[in-house]
Amino acid sequence: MEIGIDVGSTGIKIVFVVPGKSGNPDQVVWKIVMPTKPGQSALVNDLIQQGLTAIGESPSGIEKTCVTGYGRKLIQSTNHVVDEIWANAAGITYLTRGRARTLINVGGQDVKIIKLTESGQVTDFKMNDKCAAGTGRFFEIAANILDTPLDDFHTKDIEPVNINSICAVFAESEIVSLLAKGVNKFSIIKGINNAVARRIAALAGNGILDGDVYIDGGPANNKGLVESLEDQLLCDIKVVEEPQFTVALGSLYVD
Amino acid sequence: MTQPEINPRLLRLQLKTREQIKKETCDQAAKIKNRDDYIKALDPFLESLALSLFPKKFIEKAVIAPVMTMCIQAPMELFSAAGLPVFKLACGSHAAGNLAPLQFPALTCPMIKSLAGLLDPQSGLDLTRQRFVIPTTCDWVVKFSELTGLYGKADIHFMELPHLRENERSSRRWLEEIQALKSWLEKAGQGKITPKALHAAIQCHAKAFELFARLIELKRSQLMPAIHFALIANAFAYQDINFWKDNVRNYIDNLKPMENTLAPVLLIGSPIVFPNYKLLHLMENAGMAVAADDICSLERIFPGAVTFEDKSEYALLRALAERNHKACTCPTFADNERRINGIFNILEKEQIKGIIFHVLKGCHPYEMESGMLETQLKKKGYRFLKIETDYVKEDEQNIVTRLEAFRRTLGS
Repeated sequence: MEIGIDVGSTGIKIVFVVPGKSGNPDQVVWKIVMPTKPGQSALVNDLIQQGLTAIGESPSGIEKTCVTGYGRKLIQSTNHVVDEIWANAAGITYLTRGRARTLINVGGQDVKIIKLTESGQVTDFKMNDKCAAGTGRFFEIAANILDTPLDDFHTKDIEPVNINSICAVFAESEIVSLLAKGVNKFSIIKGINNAVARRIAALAGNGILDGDVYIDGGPANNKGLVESLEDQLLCDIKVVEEPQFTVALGSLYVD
Repeated sequence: MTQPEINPRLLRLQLKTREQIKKETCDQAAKIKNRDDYIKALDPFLESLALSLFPKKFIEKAVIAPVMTMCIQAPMELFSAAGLPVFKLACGSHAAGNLAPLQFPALTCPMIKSLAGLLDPQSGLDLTRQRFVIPTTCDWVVKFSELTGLYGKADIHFMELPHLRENERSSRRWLEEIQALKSWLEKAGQGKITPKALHAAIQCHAKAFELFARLIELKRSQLMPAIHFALIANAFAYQDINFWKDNVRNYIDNLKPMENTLAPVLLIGSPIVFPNYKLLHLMENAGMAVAADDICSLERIFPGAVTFEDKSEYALLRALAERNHKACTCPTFADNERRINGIFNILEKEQIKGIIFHVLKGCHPYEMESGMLETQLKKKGYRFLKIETDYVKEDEQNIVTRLEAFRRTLGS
C-alpha cells in the first residue's frame, strides 16, 4: 500500500492507494481531509494510524509514503518529498489518463495554473504570490460571513453584485456592508465567484491556457466558480471527482 | 540641513531600526559564515558591506569624504582620477525602509525606500554636507532627492541620461554629461583631473575589470558560489579600488574547489543588494546555481572595457562615455535590443536552459521588460520563471515551491 500526503496551508489531505496488479488501475482504499493545525507531523501520523485501523492494515503494509504541499518539509519519515506543482500535474494526468493540458489549482492560500504534457511533465506554470484573494481561504471567509456552506455557492439565475475589493480582508467588509444593505445573499455569492474568477483569469493572462482545461483543489467543488471561470476564460473547464485529493494522489506518481 | 526637533517616538523608531539593521547584517553574515564553502577571504567584503549600512560611521572612517552615487552610469575612473572615494547608494535592508519619509508612495521600490531610510536625517549624518552624483535612470532615482528632501539642500550633480543610445545626438549629449561630471569632480576634489591621472585611473580600473572577468569565469564554470560573487560585486562600491583588488586576488587564491551539482540558471532583473540575498539562498536550496546574471549590482557593475584611440583628455572621456552609455543595458533605455541580444548570447555560450527573472515590487522598468523577455525566451524554448518579491521573508515558502517546480522543469 502507498500513502500520498498533501500538507496544504489550510488542509491536510491523505490518500491510501493499493497499486493495481496485472494492468488493473490503482485503487484508493481510504482518504481523509482535515484542517491544518499546528503540529502537522503528529497530526499526519495520527491520521495515518486512523487510516490503517479503518482498513485493517498494519504499518508494515506501507510500501511507500510521499509528501507534498506547503508543510512537506515538516513531515519526517517519508520516502519521497515533492513540490505540489509537479504532484498536482502527476495527479491530474493519472486521473484524466493524460488528457489534461492545463490545470487550474485553487488552493487554500494560492492559485496555480499549470501547463503540462500528456505524460504529466510540467512545461510552464504561474502562481500568485502571498495574497489570499481568489483562493480557498477567501471562500472560507465568505462562507463564514454568509453562513452558507461552499456546496451552496452555486447560483445560476441571479444578477450578481459587483465585489470591488480584490483584497480578501477588504472584500470581507464589503460583503458585510452588502448584507447590511439587504442585498440578496445569492447575488453576493455570484459576485464573489465572479471576483475570484476575474483574479484567476488575470493570473492566466492570455497565453497559458491550452488544450483540455481542468480545475482542482477544494474550491473546484463550487460549480458557481467553475461557471464564472468558464465565462472569464472563454473555455470549457472540467472538474475531476473529489478534486481536493488530486495533489495528495499525484505525489505518488512523480518520477 | 537643519535638524528637526527629535520626536521621542521617532527616536525610538530610529534606535529600533538600527538594531534591526544590525541584526539583518549579522544574520546574513552568519548564514554565509556557516556555509561549507565559507573562506576567511570573504571577511573584508562582509565587513565593508556591514559598514555600508551605517553611512555615518562609514563617512567618519573615511580619510576623504566620499561622493554618494546611484546606479552605474557615472564612470568610477573619473572619481578615482579626482581622488574621491565613492559611497554607492544601494541598500538591501528591509528594516531600513521603516525610516523612509512618510511622503514615499505605498508601493515604492524597496531598494529606494530602504535607501531613504538609511539616509534618515536623524541618524546624525548631515546630508547637506554630502555630495551626490545622480544619473537620471528610472523614475525612482530621478525623484529620489526630492522625496528625501535633499533637492535644493545637498550638493547634487545630476547626470541627464539620454534614454536612447543608438544615435549620434544621444552620444554627444552623454559626452557633455561626462565632461560636466569631470568639471564638478574637479571642484569637489583635489583640483584639475589631468589626462595622465585619468589614464592612470582607467588602467587601474582595467586591472580590476580583468580580475572581475576572472570571477565571472569562475562563477560560470560553477567553481565559485553565486553568494560569494554577490558579496564581492556589492563590496566593490565601498572599497578603495586597490584594496578591493587585493581582496579579490586573496579570495581567488584561497577559493576551495566545489562540487558542481546544481542546475545552472541565468538570473536577470532588479538589483540584488546586501543583505537581501533571499533569492540567491532560496535558489541554491532548490538545487539551482546562478551561473550567470544580467544584474546591475552583480555582473553588470563593470559595464565593460574602455577602449580609446589616444591618451588625450577628449579621447579618454569619450571612451568612458561610450562604455557607460552604449554598453550599459539598464532597462530604462528605449532601444534595448542590446540587452536582449546579450541575454541570448549568455544562454547560448553557457548552455543555460532556465532563466529566473527577479522583479522587486515597484521596480517598474524591469517589470515592463519581463513580459517581452518572457515571450521571446519561451519562443526559443527556454524555461522562464518570474519571481516578484520585495525584502520581506514572508513569501519565502511560496517562492521555494515555485523554484523547486521550476528546477524540475530543467531536467537533469
